[in-house]
Amino acid sequence: MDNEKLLDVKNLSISFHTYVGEVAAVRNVDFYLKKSEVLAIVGESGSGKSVSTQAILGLTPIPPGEIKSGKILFKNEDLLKFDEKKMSKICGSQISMIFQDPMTSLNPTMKVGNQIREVLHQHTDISRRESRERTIELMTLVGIPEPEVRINQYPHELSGGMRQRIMITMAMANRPDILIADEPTTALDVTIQSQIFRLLKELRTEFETAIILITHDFGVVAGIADRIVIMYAGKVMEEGETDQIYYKPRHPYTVALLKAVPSLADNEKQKLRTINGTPPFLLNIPPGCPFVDRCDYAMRICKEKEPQYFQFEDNRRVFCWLYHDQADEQFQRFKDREGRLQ
Amino acid sequence: MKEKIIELKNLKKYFYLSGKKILKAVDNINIEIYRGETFGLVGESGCGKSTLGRTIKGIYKPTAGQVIFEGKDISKMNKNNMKFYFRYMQMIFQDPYSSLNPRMMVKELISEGLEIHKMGTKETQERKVFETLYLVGLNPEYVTRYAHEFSGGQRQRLAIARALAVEPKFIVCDEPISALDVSIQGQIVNLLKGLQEKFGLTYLFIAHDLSMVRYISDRVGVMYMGRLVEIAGKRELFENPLHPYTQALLSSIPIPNPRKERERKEIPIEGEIPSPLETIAGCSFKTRCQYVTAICDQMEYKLIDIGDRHSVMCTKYY
Repeated sequence: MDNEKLLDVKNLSISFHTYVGEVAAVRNVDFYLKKSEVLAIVGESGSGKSVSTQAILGLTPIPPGEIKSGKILFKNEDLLKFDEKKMSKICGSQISMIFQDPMTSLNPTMKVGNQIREVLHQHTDISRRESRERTIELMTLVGIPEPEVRINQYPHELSGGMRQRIMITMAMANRPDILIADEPTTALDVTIQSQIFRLLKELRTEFETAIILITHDFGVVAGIADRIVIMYAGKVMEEGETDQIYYKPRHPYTVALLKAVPSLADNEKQKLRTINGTPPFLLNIPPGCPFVDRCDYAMRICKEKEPQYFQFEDNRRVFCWLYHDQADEQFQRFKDREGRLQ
Repeated sequence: MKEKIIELKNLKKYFYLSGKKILKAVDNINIEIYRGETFGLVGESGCGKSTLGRTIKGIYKPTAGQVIFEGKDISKMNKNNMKFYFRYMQMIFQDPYSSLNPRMMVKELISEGLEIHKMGTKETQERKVFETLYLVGLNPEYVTRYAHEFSGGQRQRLAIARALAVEPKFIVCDEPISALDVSIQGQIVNLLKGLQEKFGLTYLFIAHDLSMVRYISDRVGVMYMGRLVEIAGKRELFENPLHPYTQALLSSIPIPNPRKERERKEIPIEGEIPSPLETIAGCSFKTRCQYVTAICDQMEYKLIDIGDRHSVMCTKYY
């Protein structure tokens, strides 16, 4: 079973030391990724979704950051123990990453073709002619029209969607095992967004690359993700397969998030369901569940003691006291009110 | 009969760039917005929707055409009337981090407009600040705080309070929720809806999030490259989109439901928006349109009335 896991993040905790104190951005987070699957990590800003995935590639700024505990096992080796030299061999070849804003992550003074070729030369021993041919081939593959022309252009000459395609070309250049996509379409328009997602799906089938998709938007992951991890205030709140999460959400936070997305089929006469309040301040985390102040089903214990993970069928995990034996009555209330979520 | 609050007549806003290039950000737009309704304006980035909002608010001077507010052309208003116009017409921006002065306290932020428009005495202004804060769901005790002490959602509430304090009739909401988290977006949208009912406000709601536009608007206009290509009642537009661009745009919205999402039939739209500096004869969407024919080169820039208050600019419906 363990051999199947390409990447296994275990008990990861990351804090940032600021002038006002220690901010616990990620707290005891576990998740794993299997070969060629798409895992979506969904959370609001400040939920720790980006911080925990940046740690995979050693991108956590230390200081002010500090990795308090945990392991990141990639092919059974702990990436957190790697030095810079070993890490740079993995970055861009076996694990690569694309970011939200392709304008700031591309070098504005370098032709895009050279930026892609740089990645190829870094990890493989090929001639300049070969790398040029390979670059054009890759650019065609990700759907960039006229690659022979584009190769000599600078990032500012390209549109947002094209720049994101260049980023994807760079990330896929060495056929990585894992592609981490941090909000890859947030800055793009819907029509371009759907083009990029279509491309990611194709690449997954073509190269068998596993993808970690980080997003705040529940709407976009339904069509692409195999499994979903929901994060809130540095914690994993719920984990499960996509259909289970959508049709049978178990955590009140997941339920609330799903209801806050206005679906096109919704009746607009109703008031939009919202989650009252704001996420807790991670500087001074109160005991108990981080969602307690915004939860419709909070009980006394939720304020006093941090919940434990309750395991369910098929790798399903929920971080909520409702599933404790003694919470029967409240759980019934939850089921009665939210059970109708098809 | 519903009363027009604002009417745009052949409105144009061109930007003249170096090298004699012209950027036609808003090109010949005609819209009527009725009192008390929410008019949603959608389109991809660069289509001119924000420029249109800013031209209505009076931030930009139109190159040609008229903005008519309550029957009066704003370009012909005298200074005094213009001042009233600026009061009745308020705007909320996308980024509540840059739209609030970081050196001003909450009470100064909100009372600034009251002072400019000489509304009430010092005491009534102070009371108004408290009332407005309460209305937008902020604790009135916050009057001495600064904008940086608030979260994104609270800042957007502050921006709304600032607009609301001067008792406007019309608010241009330029992507007011796109910078906020999903759980906060709903709070702001519900707040805007509540205020509309209470004060009979009219909104121009500019957004690229189509599902939110569908939720909040009464009528929707779709813009493409500076032109209004389709306009209809909300339900009519989403159920029966006629323009090929609108059809493609609507079909590319992901559905937050895995089973339906897998079945979603997408009308692919090839390529990207051409450069807005290029002059394209006829229909500007023809370079990406799957129904393109020879007559598209001679398309007139006129909305064709299909009936049911639904108009579209496309040669298919000649």
